[in-house]
Amino acid sequence: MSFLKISNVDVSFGSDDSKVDILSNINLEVQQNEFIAIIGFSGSGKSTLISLLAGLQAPSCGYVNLENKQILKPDPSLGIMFQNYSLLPWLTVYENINLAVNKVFPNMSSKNKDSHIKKYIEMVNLTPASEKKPSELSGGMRQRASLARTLSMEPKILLLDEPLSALDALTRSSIQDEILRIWENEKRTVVMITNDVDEAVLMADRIIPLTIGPKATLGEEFKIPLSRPRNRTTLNSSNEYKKLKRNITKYMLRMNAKNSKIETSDSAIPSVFKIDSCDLEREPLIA
Amino acid sequence: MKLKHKIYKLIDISGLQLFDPIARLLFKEEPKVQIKRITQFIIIPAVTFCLFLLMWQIMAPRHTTKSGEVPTPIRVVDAARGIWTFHKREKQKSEAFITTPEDSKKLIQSSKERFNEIETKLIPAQEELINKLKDEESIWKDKNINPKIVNFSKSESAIKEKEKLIEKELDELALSIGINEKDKKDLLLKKLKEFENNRSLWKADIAEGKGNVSILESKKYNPLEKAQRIKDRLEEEKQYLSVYIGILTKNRNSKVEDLNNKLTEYTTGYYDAESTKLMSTAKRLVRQQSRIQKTEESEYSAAKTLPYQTLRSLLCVFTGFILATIIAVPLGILCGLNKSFMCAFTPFIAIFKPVSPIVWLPIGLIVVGGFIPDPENNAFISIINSLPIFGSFEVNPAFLASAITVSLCSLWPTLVNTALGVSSIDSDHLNVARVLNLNFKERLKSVIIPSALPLIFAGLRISIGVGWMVLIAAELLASSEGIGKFVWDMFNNGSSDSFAQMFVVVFLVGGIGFMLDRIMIVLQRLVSFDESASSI
Repeated sequence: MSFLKISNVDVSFGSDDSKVDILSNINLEVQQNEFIAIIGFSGSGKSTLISLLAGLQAPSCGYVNLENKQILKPDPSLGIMFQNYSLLPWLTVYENINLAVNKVFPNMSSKNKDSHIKKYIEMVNLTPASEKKPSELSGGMRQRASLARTLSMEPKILLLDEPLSALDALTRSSIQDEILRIWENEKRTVVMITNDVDEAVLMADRIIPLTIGPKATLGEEFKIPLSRPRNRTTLNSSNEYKKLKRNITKYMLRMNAKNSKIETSDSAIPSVFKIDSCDLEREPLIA
Repeated sequence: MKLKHKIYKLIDISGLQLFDPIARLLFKEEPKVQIKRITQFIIIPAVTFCLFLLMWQIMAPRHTTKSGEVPTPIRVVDAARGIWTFHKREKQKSEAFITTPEDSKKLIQSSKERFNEIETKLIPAQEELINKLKDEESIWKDKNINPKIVNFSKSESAIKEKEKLIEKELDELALSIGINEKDKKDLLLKKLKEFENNRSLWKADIAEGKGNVSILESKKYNPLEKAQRIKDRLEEEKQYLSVYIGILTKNRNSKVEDLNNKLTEYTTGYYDAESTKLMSTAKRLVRQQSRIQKTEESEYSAAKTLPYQTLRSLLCVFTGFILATIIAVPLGILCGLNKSFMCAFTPFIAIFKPVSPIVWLPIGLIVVGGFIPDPENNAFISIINSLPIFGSFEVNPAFLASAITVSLCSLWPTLVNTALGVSSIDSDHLNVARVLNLNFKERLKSVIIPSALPLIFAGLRISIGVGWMVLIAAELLASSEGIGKFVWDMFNNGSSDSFAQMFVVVFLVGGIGFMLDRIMIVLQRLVSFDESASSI
């Protein structure tokens, strides 16, 4: 029995004539404490997929189960970390985490709460900046704060939505190491969305490509049998690592080539437009 | 080093960026840049303002109106000083009313000294000076004004004579023309036309000359004017001192003392009285007791001075502003959260926003008047007046109507901005609320309001500006004791100083409006999270 199970999920927006299918026939099973990377081109519906897992988006048909319970609405146990930090800019790093902790552990004593928050700030190496506001932090520091907030809720599953795509290459690699270190210390199920093959191979146990939308679906999976803990510098010279990277890149490029052929013949609506329109039609966020 | 940055930050946050270059110059930070900034932001505006004052000083006396000359800046400063002296004197009078006997003795002593000094020394000296200046004035007039007047009357009579002469000539010409001399007749017509044209030109000249003469005649000899003003002021002070001494000699304590003396007399009278007189003496005693109590509670009713009126106006504008905020912010949040709500309110906003305060005020007066038919014995008014700050400003229906007008005119910017702020919340922040499963109350408190706060404050800033502008007009019409009423009183009393005092009000209202705006900017900066300056 799997920890997380996506079964026959379709997501589409609009109705009848204007119906746009984003995801179609998604099936995925994730074991506990597995690190999954879902890789795809921009606009292929990756964010929709992670919203589905986080309960921010309901499937049009099919279901998503976590520990045999269907995910129907967002919950702190589904720890999603957004691409653009989503820190509240009027609160300090500490207060941002405090807001989450207060909500998730309402019965914790204030002393325990404090040490709990400090533990996670320490875990992402932000202790010196804990009293700073997001506007005073660099992009990397903001993403760490966001990570600390997500971890502090002690979620059953960690959903990372392109967490590092807005960062420069150097900061990116240091935070990759950070996430790996934390994951190895306290094992947790992780589903990470990315568009970076290097990142996926370095971090994940399994890589699953998402085909190009519309009607995106999951492609053939790649197992990453590299031993852990993984080290960036030693991996760079490993042949197995290189081969995996090459295979995945080749697969992705072939998919892209095939798709561009289809796209030229299919002149109805360009795929980019469809993605935009589905973003707009996401169910209203304020009730 | 750290102190330096703290000072910079303080300057930045307090909204006094004007002084930033000065502080930086004091710390010798890029002196050239700072001097350039000081020239640009301090010296140039100051010079322009001085130029404005100078032009005002030069232009004002050239324009005379029914209510006297347009006051020069110097006269305006004088008027401001006069207002302040009046205020201080009223305050001293009300203090004099409740001083202890020992203090009042001392005060009487010193006031009498001053009174005598004014009466015996200062005023006679000033009168002597005035007499001397009057002589000088006649010399000055003979030299500067009279010759011009004489010149004018000379030229006037010259023109008149010329007119007569030409008329006579034309008459003679007419008589000399025979019945068939068409050429000559045409010539006569031409000459007559020419003459009429010239005459209207001369008339205009004379009229202009007369205007100049009347201006010349009304010109006053400045030193004499000044001396007279000083004398007037001394007379005023003398009069004030006599009233002041009067209050001191017969103030509350001395009255109570007198009454108490009588009371002891009455008490002994009562106890010595026989049964036939017992009732009447008892009545006398009880009445005396109540009289003493009333006197002890009595207060000097000081005249309403501009400082008092200014404070009352400020209280009124804040009352209206807070009322507007209490209505507009929650309504704005609801409109921002819910599209249907917004649609329901849009017609009201669209229709009521452009309505002038001049319309709201009478409506407000009628409505308040309807609720409070008898302000002397109204529970609501007496509750308000028992509040700490409101009590000292005698809240009445006119005050309430002005405050309501202020809030009706100033709630729109806040309402619209709040709705905008709430509806434009970053979807990331709302996602956080969704992921954390915050309920409505938590979402409002931790996400929606903080996120909309900068825009709410931007709206409040506009609102208080509008409110302050509206208030003066409302007070003027409602004759609610405030700055507006002061202006109206000045307009109606038309003394030589009232024109200048209205100019004082211009600067007072402008200055307070500016300060309110600065305060709101500072508050807005404190709540806005985009700038690092907010985190001191």
